[in-house]
Amino acid sequence: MILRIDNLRVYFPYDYIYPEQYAYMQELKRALDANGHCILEMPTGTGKTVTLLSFITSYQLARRDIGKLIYCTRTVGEMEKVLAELEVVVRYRDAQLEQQGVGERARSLVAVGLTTRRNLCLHPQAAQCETREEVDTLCRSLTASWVRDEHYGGAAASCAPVAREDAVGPMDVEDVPGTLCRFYEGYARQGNDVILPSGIYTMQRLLQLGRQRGWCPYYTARHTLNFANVIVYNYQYLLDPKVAGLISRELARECVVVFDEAHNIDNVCIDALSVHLRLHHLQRAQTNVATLRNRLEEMKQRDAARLSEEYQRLVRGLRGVSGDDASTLATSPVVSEDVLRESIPGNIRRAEHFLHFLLRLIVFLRQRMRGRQVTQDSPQHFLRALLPAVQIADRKPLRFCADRLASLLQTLEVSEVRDFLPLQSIAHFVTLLGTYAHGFAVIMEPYDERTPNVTDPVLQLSCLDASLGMRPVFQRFQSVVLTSGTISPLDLYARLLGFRPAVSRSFTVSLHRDSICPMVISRGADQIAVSSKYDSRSDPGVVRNYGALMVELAAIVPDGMVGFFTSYLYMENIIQMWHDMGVIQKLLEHKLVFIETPDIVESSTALEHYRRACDSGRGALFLCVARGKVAEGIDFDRHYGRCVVILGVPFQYTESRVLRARLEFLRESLQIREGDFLTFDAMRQAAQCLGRVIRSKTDYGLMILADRRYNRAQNRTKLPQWIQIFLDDSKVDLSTDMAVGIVRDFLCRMAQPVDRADMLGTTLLSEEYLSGRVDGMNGSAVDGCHRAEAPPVKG
Amino acid sequence: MDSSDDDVLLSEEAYRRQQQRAGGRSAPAARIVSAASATAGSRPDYAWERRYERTWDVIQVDDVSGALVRTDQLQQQRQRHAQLEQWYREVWQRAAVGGVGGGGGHRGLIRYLVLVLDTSAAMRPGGQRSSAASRAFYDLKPNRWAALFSAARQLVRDYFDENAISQLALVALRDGLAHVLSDMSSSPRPHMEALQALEKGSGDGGGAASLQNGLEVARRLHAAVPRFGTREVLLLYGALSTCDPGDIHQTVEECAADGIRISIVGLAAEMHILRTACEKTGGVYRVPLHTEHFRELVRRHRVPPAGRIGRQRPGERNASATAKGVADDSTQVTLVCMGFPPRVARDAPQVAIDSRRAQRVGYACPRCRQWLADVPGTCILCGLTLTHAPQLARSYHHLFPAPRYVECAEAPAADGPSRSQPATDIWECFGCRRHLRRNRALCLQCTGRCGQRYCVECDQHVHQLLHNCPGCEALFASDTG
Repeated sequence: MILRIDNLRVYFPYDYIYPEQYAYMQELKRALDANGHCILEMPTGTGKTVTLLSFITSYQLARRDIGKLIYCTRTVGEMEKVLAELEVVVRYRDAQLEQQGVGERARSLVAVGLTTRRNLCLHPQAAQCETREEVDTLCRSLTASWVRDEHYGGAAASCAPVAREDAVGPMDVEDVPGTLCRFYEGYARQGNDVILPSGIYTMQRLLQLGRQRGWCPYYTARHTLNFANVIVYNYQYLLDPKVAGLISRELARECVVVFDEAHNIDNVCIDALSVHLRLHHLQRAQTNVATLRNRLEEMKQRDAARLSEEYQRLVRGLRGVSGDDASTLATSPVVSEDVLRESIPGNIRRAEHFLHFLLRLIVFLRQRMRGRQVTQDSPQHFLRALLPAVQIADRKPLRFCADRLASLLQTLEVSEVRDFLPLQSIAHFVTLLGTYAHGFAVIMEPYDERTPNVTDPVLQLSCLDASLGMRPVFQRFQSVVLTSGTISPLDLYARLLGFRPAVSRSFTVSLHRDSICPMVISRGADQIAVSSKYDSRSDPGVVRNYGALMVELAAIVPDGMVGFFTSYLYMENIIQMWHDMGVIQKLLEHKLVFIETPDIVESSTALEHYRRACDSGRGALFLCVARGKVAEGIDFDRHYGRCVVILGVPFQYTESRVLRARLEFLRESLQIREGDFLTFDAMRQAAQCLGRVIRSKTDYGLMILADRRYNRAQNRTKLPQWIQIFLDDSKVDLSTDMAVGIVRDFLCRMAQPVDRADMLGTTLLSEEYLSGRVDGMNGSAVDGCHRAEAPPVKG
Repeated sequence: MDSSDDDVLLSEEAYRRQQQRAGGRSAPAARIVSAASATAGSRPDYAWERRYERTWDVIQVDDVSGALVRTDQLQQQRQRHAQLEQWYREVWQRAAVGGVGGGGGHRGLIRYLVLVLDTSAAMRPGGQRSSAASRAFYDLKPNRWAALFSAARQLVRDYFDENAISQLALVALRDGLAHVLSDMSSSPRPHMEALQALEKGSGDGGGAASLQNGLEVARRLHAAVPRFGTREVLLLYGALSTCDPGDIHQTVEECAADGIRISIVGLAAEMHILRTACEKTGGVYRVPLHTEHFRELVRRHRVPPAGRIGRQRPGERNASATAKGVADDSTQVTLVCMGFPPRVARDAPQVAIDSRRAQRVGYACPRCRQWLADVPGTCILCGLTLTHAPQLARSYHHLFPAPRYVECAEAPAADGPSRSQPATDIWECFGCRRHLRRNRALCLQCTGRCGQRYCVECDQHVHQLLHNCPGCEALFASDTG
């Protein structure tokens, strides 16, 4: 159908639209018109992706001054889903445009999904590599400029590939020797200046194209970024400055950036700017320095000119260092223009000096890690100790450390990047330390909290301010859209990320039947309160009541059921106690029990078997952890999850130094109280877990919050709006047996057949309906949407 | 549906008068409404489980007769009519599609149904350990076990009533196994006996239910079924999981390939595998809301299923194609040999071969002259299908249903085709000849040849029992006679 939103024609590929999708487009338009950022929360399973895609591509069509759509996802799977959805949108749009007689040119749309080399490499050896780093290393060893120069006789040191073609002359792809990658050579020869025909380039299509034409899919994709209309890739390519500097440097300001599933975006930002160092990292880094020194000696004898050339380049400034061949090396974790323009300080400009400097740095860090006590320093404080130890006067050279290392690796023709990761992380460590005076903390923990007798020192540079990672993105692009199914409360995100949204809004879901059933269970059948509070969590009464709750539910919930614990440790304890009490035995009568472990392979096997058990009707229960992999990325839709139970409130581990430092920072800089943030964080985690069971409107699911503390209104109100509206007073503060009654009733009601006619007009809007009722829409069908005020921005 | 609103009202009225005469002071109004609302299809659980009702709002005293009448009477009748409409919509549809001499129409006439009963722990009182499950035992009234058997008995009775020449077999699931209770037979007696025997053994245990074993047994029972019949499986399933020895999906696929249609009434909640099984084989999967709903869902299976019944069965079709050179079995007409033995009384008792008892009154097989106690059925000796001619004729009403009655417009009776009443609000029902008031009783008109008017009672009677419209039959009789 073709919608009209304030005179904008939106090509929406389906015959019906949900009211909330329509409202979503309206808000999106307001934000884009205002060239501002926005936060939009819309429940899972209401077609966020298709709404975004169809609206923004239509917007691009109408307004030519809008740049690319950059769609950031969390995982490769999501990326593929987005591209598949986009294909539907574009096919419909093209068909409609053709009917209107719009020319081919206007219709052409190029969309590309970029992911790592590991997924996009065609080289036969890459199939044997297991990790991303291995593939990166392999690629570098085959495509680095000196490797190719060696083959081509060094004639074309850094010429453009086009020029090189003339120099070497046409060569058949089969002639490429084993030391080079024939796909990269193919790309370098032809792909670089070829513009791909319009279409959607998914991972599969890129690989296919690569195979057909002999082009490297990865580099083709990266090249395509320059002229694609829609780019779909991972958060990291935009948020992690180390990668963003390489990939996303040339994107224009007019782009529209979308962060999907953005509820954890502050943690992504923080992770991108934090560095962890362990003792073995330092040891290996030391070996790295030794290796580099040997190489340097070699190089001196062989090709001293190259070293002096590098020196000259460094004098000129960093811009020249990162040519397109340096692409495999991660650059500085800080992207600021002045760093790129300035010349590298003299005391680390010469390679020998720089290596000496690194060595002193490592020695200093080792010394710090020898301490027996937990210490926490501000960056300034840490630097005051560090600077004399590494014999430099001010902190300026530190900022250039990462780039200097990258340049050195380039000059010394190092291919095995993977081996130098420890050294690189040390370089990142000091670069960050040298750049930011605020918003960081240096924390040294000599042992793990759980095993105080085993020394395992960790030195962490932890970022406390999420806005540091996000701010460059907000400044660079005129419109950034943050969206997720669970991104409440909206105002807190704006404060954490340090921006002022033009539009922030939470949409509820329109349902033709109450297919969501959230409940708060606070007591067992024996009226003992259940809670995962620290002082009561190992109380046998509580554990027994939790066990009884699970057994009762397992007996009446069909097919799949998911239980979330607050942490691995807690899960292990409880399962142990359940085993002793015979709860597990009772559970097994009704359902097979699967348990998530920190090991990804093990967990995914468990998940596979869980799915099989659900498919074949045996019924299964998956026990997992609220902050684990399962809670974040795995859907338990339809029969795979008819019921989700959260045992306890998933607070973070409050004794953690890093968290305490962050809480302190939030209190001092953003005036967010500790309690508020902890509750916010716990509730968004809980909401994330709850959202796992509902993936579409025809789906239904029970959401059970089993903890006394969920009764408090201040906790409940932090849940997303669309869950709150179903959590009325009759479903709060229940005991197990009361809840069981509600569950049975709900399951019975949901099993009744659905009449599609009921949905029309209430949850499905047709084109005619919309055109007739556009004016009434704001008031009626999308009523109850909650509008949040844009809060003042601090800092 | 046997007690109508009016009956209730009249009897209650009589009761009230009686009470008044006896000087007793009671308020029958509440009882009237509760009885009436139970028939009206609202949730018929126990009174104390229902919400508070303002029962006095819907009744008033009639000015003329002084009787208590419901103010929403018309609406209630409309509801009853709508229920009937829905019930028979399938039948009418089928008749419209291909009933009279239509290609697939005659296929539904002879049905072969395997009724699979779940008698696992989920249906038994002591079988559960958790309190939730043992409470689930009472979600059907009086309990699951009793409700299961009463529904099964009712279905067996109705099934043979409605499908006189069809056959049925019973299978029970327990301890992960499937037991055949009674083999395919067209007489209700062995089934009833098997059910009775099983019901008495209600106790603990029961173990798990196995869908796959149940389907495999049903498939075996269906293997010998001739091709002109439908192959149906109806599961009454109480458990929320299934414990299978092999790949259940493969079994479902095989059932679908064999043209077996699986329908399930599952208790408590929707299970994915049950839904898949039904969807893949073209059956119906429903979950009852309460006891009455459960009975109704089971009862629905007494009428032959809608849609094309004889699916193509690849394996068999190839076999028959090679054997007989027939390309497509859907176009092939199968003639069924049948006997219609008269009921005779002999001078001396003789041992009947099927009941193994000496009987004076019985039937003699027209082919082999064997003395039999019960018809319809199959002759044990020669295998001939035996039935009564009226029973065979009765089976036809699924194919030639009585015409639909639709609600009559507000038009005065004068312009109707029937002999004219004075244009008042009084009209006469053609069926029962009662004079009814327009604002009190729903007026329904036959869409068939006669176009007569009927009341709701006659509507129910005609469509549920007679299967013939009296008006149309009268016309037919006057045409031919």
